[in-house]
Amino acid sequence: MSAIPEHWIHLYQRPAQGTAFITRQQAFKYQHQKLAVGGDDTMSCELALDGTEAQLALENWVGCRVAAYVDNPMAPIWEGIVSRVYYDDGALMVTRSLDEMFNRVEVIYTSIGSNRTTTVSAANETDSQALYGIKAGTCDGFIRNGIVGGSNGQHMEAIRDLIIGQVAWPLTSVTQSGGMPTFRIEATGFFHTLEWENYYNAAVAGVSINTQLNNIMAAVVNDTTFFDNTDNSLIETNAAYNLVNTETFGKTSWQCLQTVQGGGANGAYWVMGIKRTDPITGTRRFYYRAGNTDVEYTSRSADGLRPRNQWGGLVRPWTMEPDRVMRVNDLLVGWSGRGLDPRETYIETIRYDADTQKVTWAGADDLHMQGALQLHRYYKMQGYSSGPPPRNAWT
Amino acid sequence: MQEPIELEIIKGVEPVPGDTETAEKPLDRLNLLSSSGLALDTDGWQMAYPSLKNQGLWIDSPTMNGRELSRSPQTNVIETMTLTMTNNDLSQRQGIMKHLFRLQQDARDFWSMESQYQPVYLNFKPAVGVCNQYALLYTFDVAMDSDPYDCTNSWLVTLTFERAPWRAVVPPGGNPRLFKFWKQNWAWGINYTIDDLRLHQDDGTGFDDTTYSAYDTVDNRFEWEGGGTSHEGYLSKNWIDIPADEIPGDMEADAYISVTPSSGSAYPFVKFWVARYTRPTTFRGRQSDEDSLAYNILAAGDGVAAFGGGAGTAVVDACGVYCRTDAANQYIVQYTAPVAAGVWQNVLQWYPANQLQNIASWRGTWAAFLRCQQTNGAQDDVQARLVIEQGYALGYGGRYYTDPQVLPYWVALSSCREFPVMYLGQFTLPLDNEYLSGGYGRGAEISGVANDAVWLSVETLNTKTATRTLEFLDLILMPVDEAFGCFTAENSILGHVSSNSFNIMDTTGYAMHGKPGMYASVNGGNETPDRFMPIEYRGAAIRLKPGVNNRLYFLFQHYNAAAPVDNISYASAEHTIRVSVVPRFQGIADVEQDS
Repeated sequence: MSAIPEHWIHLYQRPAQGTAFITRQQAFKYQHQKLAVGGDDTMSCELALDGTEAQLALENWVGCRVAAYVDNPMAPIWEGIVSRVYYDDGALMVTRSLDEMFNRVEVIYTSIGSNRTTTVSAANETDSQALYGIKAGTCDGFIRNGIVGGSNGQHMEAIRDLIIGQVAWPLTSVTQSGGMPTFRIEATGFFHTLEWENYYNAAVAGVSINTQLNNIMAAVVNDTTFFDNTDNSLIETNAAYNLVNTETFGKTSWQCLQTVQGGGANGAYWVMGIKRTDPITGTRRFYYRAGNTDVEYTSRSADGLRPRNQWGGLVRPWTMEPDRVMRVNDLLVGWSGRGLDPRETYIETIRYDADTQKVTWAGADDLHMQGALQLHRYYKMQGYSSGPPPRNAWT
Repeated sequence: MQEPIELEIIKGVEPVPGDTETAEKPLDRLNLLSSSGLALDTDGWQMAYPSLKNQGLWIDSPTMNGRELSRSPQTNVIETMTLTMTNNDLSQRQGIMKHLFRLQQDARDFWSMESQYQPVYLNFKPAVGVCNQYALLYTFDVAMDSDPYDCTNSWLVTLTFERAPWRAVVPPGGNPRLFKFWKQNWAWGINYTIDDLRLHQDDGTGFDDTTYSAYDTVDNRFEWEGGGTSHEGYLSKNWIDIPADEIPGDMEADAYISVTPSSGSAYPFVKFWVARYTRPTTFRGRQSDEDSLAYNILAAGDGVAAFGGGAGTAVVDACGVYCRTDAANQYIVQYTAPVAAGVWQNVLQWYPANQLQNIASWRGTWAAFLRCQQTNGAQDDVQARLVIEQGYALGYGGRYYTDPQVLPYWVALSSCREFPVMYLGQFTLPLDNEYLSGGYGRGAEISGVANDAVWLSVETLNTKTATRTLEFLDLILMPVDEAFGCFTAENSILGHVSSNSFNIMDTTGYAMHGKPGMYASVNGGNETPDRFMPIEYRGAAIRLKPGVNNRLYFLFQHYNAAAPVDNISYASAEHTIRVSVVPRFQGIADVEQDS
């Protein structure tokens, strides 16, 4: 028996600036979430920094690449960028975040009498983009009635400029505190940077899934900053159907990709996301492939659902990944019925908590429909606004 | 308990005698055995020991009988000490209390304020012990059950300490070489002096490397000796052993480990991996019925078709490594990856009868690395993966695949034995790692059968429509399940380290002036250990398990500016490893020390 293996986070320069290592810090109250569609999703932890270090971190760490390591230095258990920093010194709590930052802003609107949307040219804060990469946001100008101040376009540009003037840099809020001094970071996975990209295509043509997917990749304005958008080596061919390539409603690239995620031949489920930094090439790549329906994990109700491999060997909980199937081996032992095996769960979501060493896996009852019908796509796998609740299992 | 013969609170790191340029200040000491100040009351100190933090972390469920302990982190230790103050001078009494409160504040501020980097610790030497022991203090409370204006009667002062769970035999921030000196009953000024405290190398005056807890040269490869007749001899090895008697104590010992390129490589290293292994280093295998040493590198030449393995072809080549099958010749393995997109090809395969000697030593979790290259085409053309199969025959049992990785592309070796190294993922052996005892009824074994049971295979996948030429040197398996770390400069602005620099991994607290934790750095060139450059260290801190032989396996990656890929591993390289151990105890230390 031993202590819980130490969890460490490694901070590197912001991807738009470079790759140099900054610091290594032991992580406390470490938690992460990974998704079958997307990959590494969210991570949070607390760090033991003194006041001076915490203020330096508050100033410099937002937007940095972060990787979490436990026992294998070749394989981080999670990777992404720092999206939010909290610092509570006992008297005040200050937070600084990328969440509401947009350093490229567009406005989309519809004029009265028109059935087409119009997008005003983007405003850019290039100094912010040089540090954090391009994070684009689209404001909905709704339907304009008449000319205000010259033209609809001028009005929309004024709204655009007002917004970017307010949100082009990481936003800060300060509140009174009174709790224990705490320094905490939150991070989001690299696939979320596809939510920073707007994708627009006025063409109207039927194209294959892969053509549309390649078009979206080629249009990534952050180029190779967060992942190598020119490397299609992990994009597999899905010839299941064609679709219309028009995208004119201000969607993000990730939303457009969800449209093409779809399914494969014979009802196969497909997944996509950003792989962690490749130890050989040093790059991150977008992947698109059929989902993995192999039973790679098993568990037993009798011992509290400790995660095990398919032969019963214990699995270190921090290494668990989604996009695999978990089977409970002492549930419905003799089952041989029709339909999906109720002992097996396709893992859509993995949540891991280091302090308790608990890992939660969640499937979704209607998962084979999600890609095709776009159910739930704008929400995390937890907290659906409609549809059946996810299945959760704690171990 | 018997009263200690030394007991004091100390702040600071002691200057080295004779160092006229020291940045250290004289120690701030408060004696707790003073006849004219604070003195430990008779039986005033009941020693305490660490316990399970939050009663441990348990696997539990309302539906299971009982519960199982999963993790057992330790608490800090809370100890109470009762002292008397007997000085007849009130101002002197107040001065001593003021001293006590200042130390209290400094203990609390240690590294919680960046400006306070002087450790505050308790030093004691028991009457029946053989050496001093030092415990880092995080805080202590002071209580007094007496009239603070009365100096005619003794004051009763109670100190309640919260200290680190261990007591070390070298003070916090102290030079980690001291333990080895003290262990030999060496005395300052007689057996060792100021220049002998260097942490990295021979001081040039004949004070040699045997004065480290462990010292050895490790090769960046492993080769058997004997050409198939021995399982014990080796021509080259990639490990250092730290003998059990160098690691006393009852908790994991701290270690200061320095790594220096010594010879064989024209290039500095950019990265190395180090892994601890404390299981037995020799086994009498049921398969071979003879002793075999534990090792972690499999030569590619031993895994080819000629010897019953995969489809690769072993080629005698002076840039290869000696195989167990043929220790007279050096081999690399060549393979022409066929045009068969989507089909994985078995290139290398090892199993107990095919040089995967003594499977009992392979129990555990391993990270796999392959030294190999693709010599035509382009990067990303070929992928590789490791396949682990366990059963009574191939195709009958469990099979596990690591995730495919990109096989490195490089047109030509610019130096002999210089191959890219690729990571192949990790695996556990046996596949059900809770299965320990075999059917013979004689205890632990993975298999009692000679010629099968476990197969390790390297498979490749050519994704292009033309053949690709591949070359392989060896498969390296680093144990993950004890402590596995990686020292890397790949993400530093520096990009690599100098060929004549020292690289340290330190858990003793020396580099951080007494702060517990792990520190890694590079020391600048020409064997002058005077320029520290912090560097990235990933993975677990390397501490040593007490009372057993500790083996540290190494694998090095080098920097060659001319190479199109940056993960070159030069198998001929040699590196010097020096280890200084600082044992830690929960109880009383039992090592010699001449203080």
